[in-house]
Amino acid sequence: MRTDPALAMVRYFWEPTVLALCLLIITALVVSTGSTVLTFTVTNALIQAVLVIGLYIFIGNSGILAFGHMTYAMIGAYAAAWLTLDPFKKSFALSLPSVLADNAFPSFPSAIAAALLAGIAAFITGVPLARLTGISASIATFAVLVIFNTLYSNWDSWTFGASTLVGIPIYVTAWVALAWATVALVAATIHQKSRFGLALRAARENEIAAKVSGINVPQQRLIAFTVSGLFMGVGGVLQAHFLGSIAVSGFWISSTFIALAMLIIGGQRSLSGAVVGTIVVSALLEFLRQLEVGMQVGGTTIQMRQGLRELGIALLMLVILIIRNAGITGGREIPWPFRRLHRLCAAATAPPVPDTAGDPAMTLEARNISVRFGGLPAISGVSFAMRRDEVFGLIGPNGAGKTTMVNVLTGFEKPTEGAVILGGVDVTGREPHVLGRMGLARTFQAVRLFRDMTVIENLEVAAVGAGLTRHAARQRAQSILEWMRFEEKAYARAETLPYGDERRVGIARALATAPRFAFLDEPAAGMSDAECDELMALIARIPASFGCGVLLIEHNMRVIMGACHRIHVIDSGRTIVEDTPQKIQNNPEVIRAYLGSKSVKAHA
Amino acid sequence: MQNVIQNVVDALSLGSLFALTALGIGLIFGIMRLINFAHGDLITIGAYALIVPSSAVDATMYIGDWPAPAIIVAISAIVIVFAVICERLAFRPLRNANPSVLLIASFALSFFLQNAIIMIYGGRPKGVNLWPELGNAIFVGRVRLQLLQLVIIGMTMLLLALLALFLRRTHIGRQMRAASEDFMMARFLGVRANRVIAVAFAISGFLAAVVAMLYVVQSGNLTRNMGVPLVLAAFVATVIGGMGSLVGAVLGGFIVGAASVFFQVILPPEMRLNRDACVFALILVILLLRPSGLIKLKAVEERV
Repeated sequence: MRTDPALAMVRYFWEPTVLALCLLIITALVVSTGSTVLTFTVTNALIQAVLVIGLYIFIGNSGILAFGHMTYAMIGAYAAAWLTLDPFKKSFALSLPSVLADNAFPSFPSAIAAALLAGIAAFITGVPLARLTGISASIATFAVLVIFNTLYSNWDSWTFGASTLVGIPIYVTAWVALAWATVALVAATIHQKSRFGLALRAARENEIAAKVSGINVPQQRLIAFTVSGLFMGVGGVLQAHFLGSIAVSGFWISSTFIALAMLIIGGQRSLSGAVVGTIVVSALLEFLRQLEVGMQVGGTTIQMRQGLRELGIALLMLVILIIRNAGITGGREIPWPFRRLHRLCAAATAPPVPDTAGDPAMTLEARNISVRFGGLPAISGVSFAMRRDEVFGLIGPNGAGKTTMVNVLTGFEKPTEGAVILGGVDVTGREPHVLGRMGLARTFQAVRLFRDMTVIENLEVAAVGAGLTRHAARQRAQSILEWMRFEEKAYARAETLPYGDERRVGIARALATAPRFAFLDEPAAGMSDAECDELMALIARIPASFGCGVLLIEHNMRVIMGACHRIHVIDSGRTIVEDTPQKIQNNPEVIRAYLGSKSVKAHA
Repeated sequence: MQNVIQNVVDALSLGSLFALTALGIGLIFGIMRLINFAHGDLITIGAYALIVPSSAVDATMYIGDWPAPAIIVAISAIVIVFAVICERLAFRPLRNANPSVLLIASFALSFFLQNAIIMIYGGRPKGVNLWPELGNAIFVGRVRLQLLQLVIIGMTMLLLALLALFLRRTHIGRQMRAASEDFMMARFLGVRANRVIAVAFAISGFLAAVVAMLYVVQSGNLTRNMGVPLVLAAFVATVIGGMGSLVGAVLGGFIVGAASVFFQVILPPEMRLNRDACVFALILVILLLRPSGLIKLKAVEERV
């Protein structure tokens, strides 16, 4: 298959190109009418677009609602004022250090510097925020908003306190705002399609599975948060140089609400949603504003009461949330219309299945592991060692401690006693994503696919998490799908797959990290006999194809007996026996654990 | 000595308002994973309900002129009705949405209510004088304390005790506790979702009404966003207390109250305006040390 680099480029920048063209057409049409009021509205909307795209970079990719982003717009706006305000005007309101007080810097470098300051502020505040998940993270962003709003409204010498700072040079026209909106679109696209964006969206879909795939989730959030804050800063700078005046109160809850409303109404999960939401809400706001001022309809003037705009937006947002909570675009991007060209843009032919680096004789050892929950022992002194060239079964009745053991081996549970030794190194208690990068992969009983991503993206996340570039990740993902004969479903979204396929993708994803050891937690659950046989053959091929040892937890004895070289049996957290499948089948202890003591006599 | 006691009382009374607000939010979060930003506006509605609806600059007392028991009953009833209506119209259609969608919906609802208040009452702050006799000072030994603060603390203790009894001893209270452990399972076992949620909103509305009355007496002011600082403090209180834990929410409320008074006392006068910045920064530090809050609940944690 041939790849055309020019075409691939067009495909890559397809969404921002279309979106920027839409904005360009709207801007050109409005500016050509010559109406000052409408031009003002469009310029304002384009600045809003920069802010909303800034919000999207974090919220859309991380799935975490953030209420504190106006902070960074404020920081950018005030920094722009410090740099560009005429020294004579500064002397009235502010008392700045002499470098700032005596100079007015050129606008473009000042804009960059101001945006960078906002980015730095986002980075610093993002460090604690990035460690939080879900609702706690959202609420903590409120704390950031309160902190900076309070500080800026009382920092009289630098911000003129809560008063409005006026006289900022005005240079932002519709065209300047459009140019910045385009820059924001391109930056958001590059982030979204980079390994960082991919990894962050995976964490949004399933944080635990992302960690196992080697992704450092807080780090990915922090990257997006910083870029996002940078563009909020740009938005703030543009606002300052558009209106010529700024006040701390302009960066509080109302403006936060408007920006969030635009993103949510458009669809928070896509860049297209950010732009569509900005356009729709801006148009509606303008319409309602004209109603407030008084509108001529066929000779009669309709005039509505003050406050109608905000009421209208709030109502629209509630209605959209209720009838379509993924927003107008449903969180989808503008589709690529040239299906036939699709494959040409995809990566070239995949290389054969990857080798796994490292010492082939490496072992993984569980050394005398004990886990107690409260006072209750879940595992007591279990030890085993496995190699990279075998399938090692871990079986036992329900509640025997099998999944707990895998949780210990993959860093989700710290053992009360004992150690996990990987290739001679003690890795006990390391974070899941660190162990993921060291070559330990797993599947889950609950599967935990990244549901809103395609099958191939699911695998790419794991490959990227293991340190590959986007391109290499795609190649590895393709080669694994081909190895599993699953390539025809590569572009299906994971949430559309039937149950058996989900489990196969789970295994493929684990293999995409190029692991040294893979732990498969009940992969055959819910599969038919025919599917089990297929799965058994697949699992048996893993050690030779990937140089990856498999630890298999399974209740289905056909699969266990057919795939495993050695089997370790535990019951109530203790080792019963470890042996070959043939010997295990006839071991009276094992039969007792599974079937009770009476059946042992019957058997004998 | 006078100062120390005064500070403790300040911290307790401020913490009480935060704790009651946090409890109103936590009660609903536990059951339906909704962080209700609009809870602050229920407080605002409770306060504005005291006066005649008009956009005039000066407020004219209406319900606020009634005898105290009548005021309490009327304001509580109004806020409870509002709370239940909000649930019915805005949140029930979103019952199965994820927590982020619910949070943003409550943000939209809050924005709606605030602007509705502007349309009806105008945007300017209004002074009101409710129960001025509560502003009197009383002496406990040789220590001079404000009666209102003691009333706030007393009311809070009483309400906490009543709520604890309600949740433990009554049938519907037990159903609410079951629902906040595992809503789906509780429904399978016959707990009626609509009833439990409606009762949670009603209690939450009642708590908002109590906070509204106490807060108006204290501040003497009505503003359209008077509930916002309370709700922001209560938000962080529920987070540092541990999402989903009612005890955590109350504890968090008192911690935020204590931190506010602490910074008020130790900051030099020229820095005092930045008190809230310090309080919220402290909260970020606490979250950094304990990301899941002080009281960690199994029900909220995800099992691997």
